[in-house]
Amino acid sequence: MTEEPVREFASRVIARLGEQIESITAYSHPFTNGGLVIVFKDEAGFVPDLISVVYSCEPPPITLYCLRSAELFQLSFPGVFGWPNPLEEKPLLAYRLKFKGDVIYGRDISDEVVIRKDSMPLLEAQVQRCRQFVRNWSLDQFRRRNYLGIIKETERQIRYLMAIALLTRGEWDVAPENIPGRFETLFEDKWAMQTWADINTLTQREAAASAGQVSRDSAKEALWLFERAVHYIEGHIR
Amino acid sequence: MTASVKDYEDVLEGLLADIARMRDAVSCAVLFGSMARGDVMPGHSDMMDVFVFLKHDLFDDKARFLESLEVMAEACEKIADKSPGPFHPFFYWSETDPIPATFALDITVHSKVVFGEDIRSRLNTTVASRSVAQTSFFEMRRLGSPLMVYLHKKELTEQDCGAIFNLLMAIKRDLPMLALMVLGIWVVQKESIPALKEAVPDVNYDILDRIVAIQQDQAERTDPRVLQMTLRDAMIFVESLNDRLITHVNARSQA
Repeated sequence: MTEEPVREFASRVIARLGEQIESITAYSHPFTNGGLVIVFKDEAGFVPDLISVVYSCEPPPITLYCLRSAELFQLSFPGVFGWPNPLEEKPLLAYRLKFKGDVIYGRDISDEVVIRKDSMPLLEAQVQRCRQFVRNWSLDQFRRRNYLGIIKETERQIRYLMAIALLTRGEWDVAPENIPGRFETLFEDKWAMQTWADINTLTQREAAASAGQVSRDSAKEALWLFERAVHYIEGHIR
Repeated sequence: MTASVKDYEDVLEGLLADIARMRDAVSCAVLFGSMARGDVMPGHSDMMDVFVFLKHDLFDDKARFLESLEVMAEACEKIADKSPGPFHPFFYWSETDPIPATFALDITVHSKVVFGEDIRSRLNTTVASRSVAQTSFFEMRRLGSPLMVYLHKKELTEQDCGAIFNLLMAIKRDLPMLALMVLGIWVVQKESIPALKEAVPDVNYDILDRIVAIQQDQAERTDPRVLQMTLRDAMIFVESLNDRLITHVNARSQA
């Protein structure tokens, strides 16, 4: 069910650009606020001008994909590396759109959204992506003394990596709280699960601590556990 | 105070001193980007474009890993405090892991080993990583979308002008190389513009020279009208390139 602020934003966009738009589809994402795919008609005009109008309609904090029909293939891409994208939606995006997209306006694009036959490259790319992001980002967070942020982000990144690993076993619609359980069932990897349990315990303990009490050592411990967890999950890439 | 190339060199020296403290944890440190190419623009070039390659067994040894992490975190803080240009942390990586294909050429070709053994010939990438690199042009174009509001904004603030200038720099610096990757042509950043002109000749590239001129002219760099007009011309260039790349990708998928 698409939330009201998203629908209201879509209405504002339609009021301004309805003639130029072919379709608007909303999607949810288990790790982000979800977003909208806005498809412009091929003859709609200069796309940056259209995008300018879309962003002037005061979007809520969601992701926007503004493209033309001929560009829909981009929705199945693996996504980019590194900043400014801490968590790349792309590995799950095609699934969320194709099977759970909510057509708000115009035609249904779900048939044109392609699911990759082999999802293993998505896992391989995600392993590299999360290593690059977490290592680089966390160095900056140490100087900001954002120790709890480092701990929470490592937990989130490993949970997301497990979600991408589940794609290789045909599972794409698992709620965040159920991801570790499904991973344990499908991969039977005791080392990865032990490391996950350690990450989870550390995160819960430090999240409960009062502000300013989270130590630099705990943040470093989280990064060590992150390295181990990625190493074990990487072992499932064939 | 005006930044100088020596300021950049001093900060790099500081990093190398910290890396030396890590002794046997580091296999190699590779400098890339403007400092390695010798075209630093003081105050504008970012730092720290360094990949620190750690020994692979460090990732199996908790005590050594944590010790090295502390040194790297301290080093990063010193760089941030002293950086004469825009700052971002350096990267650390296992010496045996494949590197991200998007940066591979700049790390292995237009680079300089500043510490340890030269392992660049042993660095490799994966098919999955190359696939990410070959789609990054389209992703970067999308990530720039929120900035399109500046095409029509009536009163641009100093911050808006800074954001437009940074976008123009990214278009000149990164997009030609990423466009070539879509076409399966892999060249270092510095050689990307002539290579792209040859690969895609029917696009007007004048805007890239215009961006260079703005970069070198303080008055134009902060003039809202100049920046807004240049942004429009830059987006005409990006869209025209994008159209050709889409045609290429669609033709390839149909083949």
